[in-house]
Amino acid sequence: MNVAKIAYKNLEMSEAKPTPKSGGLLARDVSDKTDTKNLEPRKRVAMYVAELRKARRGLKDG
Amino acid sequence: MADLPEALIDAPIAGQSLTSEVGGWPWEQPPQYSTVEETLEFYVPRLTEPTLQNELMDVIEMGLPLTTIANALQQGAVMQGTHSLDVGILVMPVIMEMLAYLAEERGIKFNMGTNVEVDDNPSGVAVKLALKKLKAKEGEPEEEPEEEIVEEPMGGLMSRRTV
Repeated sequence: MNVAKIAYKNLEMSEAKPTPKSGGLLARDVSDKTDTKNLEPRKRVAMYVAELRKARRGLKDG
Repeated sequence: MADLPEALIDAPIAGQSLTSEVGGWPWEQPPQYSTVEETLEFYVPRLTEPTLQNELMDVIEMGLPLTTIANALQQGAVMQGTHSLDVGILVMPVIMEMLAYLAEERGIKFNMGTNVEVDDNPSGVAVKLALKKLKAKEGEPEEEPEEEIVEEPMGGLMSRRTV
């Protein structure tokens, strides 16, 4: 059994959500992007993988 | 018994882990890093270290799947007590993606190893166990029904006669 393959395939890649507008100039900006501590480890890992994929795409695109 | 998978035969004997001193192995101690972030902070500098990176790129260039490399890396760290097995499995996709990034940066073609078909078919033993459980659930008696005992007429000289 290939554990790495299963772990990789079972990643829950969340789709990019539209960023909610903040309430005002002094409103707290607690969006998914900034509030990483409250996410589950699997979601945090998916976030890191998404970032690395984006960087890889950047390499391909030049 | 003849169709037991080989892996089952090679498995450790029940209670084998209790034959060594408790806490004698690094993985029996609390892990050095317990969170995903701490573990990644351990891996990233190592993966970007030039010496290790060159060796890794050689192996990747030879066609070894990234899944295998990531698995070997994390299992090694688990055995050294760096992190727990579950954290290792969690960070494996990040390690794979990191390796892919490094390979792509150097223009090396790599095999992610995710296209290999995983054999998800259950083993013969698992199928037999499942069938047994199913039968038990359906309430089918496993034993054959007892045959009715037919009383034979007593034929002795002193036996009581029945009318």
